[in-house]
Amino acid sequence: MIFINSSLHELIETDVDIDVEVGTTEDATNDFELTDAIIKEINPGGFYIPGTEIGGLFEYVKERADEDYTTWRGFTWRGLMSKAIIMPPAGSDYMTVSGEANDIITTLLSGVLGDIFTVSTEDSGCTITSYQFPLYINMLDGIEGMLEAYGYRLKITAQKVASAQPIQILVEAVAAVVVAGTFNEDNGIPMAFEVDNMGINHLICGGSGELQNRMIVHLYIDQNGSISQSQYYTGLAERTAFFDCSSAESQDDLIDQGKEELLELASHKTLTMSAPDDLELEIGDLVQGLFPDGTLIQSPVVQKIYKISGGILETEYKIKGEE
Amino acid sequence: MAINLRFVSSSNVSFNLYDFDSAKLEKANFHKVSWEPDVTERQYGSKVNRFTKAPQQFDCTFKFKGDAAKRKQQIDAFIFQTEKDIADQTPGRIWWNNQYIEVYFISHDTHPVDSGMNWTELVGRFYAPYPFWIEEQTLIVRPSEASQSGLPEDEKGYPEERDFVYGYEYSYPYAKNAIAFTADSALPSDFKAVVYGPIATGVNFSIAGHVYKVNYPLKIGQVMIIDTRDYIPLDKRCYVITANGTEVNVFDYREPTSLLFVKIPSGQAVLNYARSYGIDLTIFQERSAPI
Repeated sequence: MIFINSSLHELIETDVDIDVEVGTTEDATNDFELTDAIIKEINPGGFYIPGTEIGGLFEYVKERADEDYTTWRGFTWRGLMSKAIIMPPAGSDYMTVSGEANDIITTLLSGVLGDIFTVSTEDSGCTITSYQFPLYINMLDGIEGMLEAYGYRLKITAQKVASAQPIQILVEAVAAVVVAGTFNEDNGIPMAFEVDNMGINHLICGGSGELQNRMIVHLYIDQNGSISQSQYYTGLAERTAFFDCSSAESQDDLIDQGKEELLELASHKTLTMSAPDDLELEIGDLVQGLFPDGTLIQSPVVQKIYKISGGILETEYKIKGEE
Repeated sequence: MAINLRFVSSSNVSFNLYDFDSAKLEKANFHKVSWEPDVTERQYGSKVNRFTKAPQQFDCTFKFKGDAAKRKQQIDAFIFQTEKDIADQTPGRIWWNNQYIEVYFISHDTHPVDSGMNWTELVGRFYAPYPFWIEEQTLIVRPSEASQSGLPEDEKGYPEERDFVYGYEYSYPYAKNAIAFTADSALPSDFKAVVYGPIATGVNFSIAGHVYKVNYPLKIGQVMIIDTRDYIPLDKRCYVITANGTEVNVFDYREPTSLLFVKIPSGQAVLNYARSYGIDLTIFQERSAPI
């Protein structure tokens, strides 16, 4: 581990215990914390491990008079990227992009955070076509979402490229790795297969109005998950519930809210996967699982926790949906 | 052959532990060694991930003889120095012939306390945070004659005399660029390289094929030190001492591909460089117990 100053120049190499969490903004804090009694002597601005994305800038310091150590926190490189917003260009409602992915990322990150990020000039092989960013999305989620739609992921690597120069935080689009496995754990991916047929398939939705004048809509779900006003399950198979949605002002509004509710209440099958211990995965890589009935699902790696203790690095992963 | 066993405090006050004046170290467990396996439990047994070693503790018993006033003075002098080590948080060293281990004397008691006895036992414990005995091997390599021809005597950049007190050292013929040596340790060895300016192009040498390169030119009278030891925090360092004694951290000037704190592998190795400047290379050879 190398400590750097606030201008990203290397200061010293040393080992301290640290926890670092990276991932999507929904699933990870993208920050780090370390407690140490000594490093304040060198007044560090941040740290990194060369050739990895482990690193960031110190932006929080806590010292107590009755303790001889200092607590340091800060955002990782990925966390810093999440603190910028993609704005629609002047005269446009949305930011829409097309072209080679690294070129697009270069444009997006130009001028952001003092140009701390260097984008690869390599052709990633990923061509984006008319991708429209959600309004005012943060830079990290925006770029990750764009790349995920094309089977790519965001790779961040900190490294030293020249003597007496700031370290480089290299950003690039790379193809996401798909790690495939089936329910029988043939690839060492722990999976749980769940069939829940205890769900609701007929939802009576109550909108505005009183008593017999109340707006009522009946919604039914079929075996393929399609929702309509035509009954599919009958007799012993029918399971009915009432949805009180008095705030719905119109029938369309009531149907929309009722569909959302019915999807939540309906029977379902799920395949949850745990991150394997012995595979090297990156944020955005895809873990793929196969249902016993042949259904294929993919979930991205959304969180990665690095724990450095006693000079040893251990890594934990979390796949989307994993408890 | 008698063992040269002594304790040297951080203030460089030396006590002969084998027979310091009228006192003698009667018992000590300096050869106690213990490695701890770090394992992952398996259905059958475990998988060893690595081995670790806790700080070493040595229980010792000294016996002081002679009149009471002398015993008291000797014990007091010893305790004063060891407590000063603790106050300064700077360890002393136990020397076993040419090998040393850095220690603090962390607990002690004396008995009997009754007057009238002609001896006193001091029972105590040394604590070694870094649990290895170290023997230093120093290679003194001076610039080749060819590189120095034409330079005035005062610009050759290396001192004529150095003060090496411990360990053993070698000097090498001026013509050789590849200097072979043996790191006599089962474990990779730390080293301290002292490189003497002037060097216009920066420092560049290899040990056992690993390149150590720092693109910082040295002027006459400047010395660059690369020290891989990590016994205390912020210990691994690459710095320059200027002619007026100022220390300058030059770690940022390392060649990006050059990892500066890689230890020397066990066994035979070669120090290789252009020999246009002088290097003193001290290799810290580690053993779990002294020999």
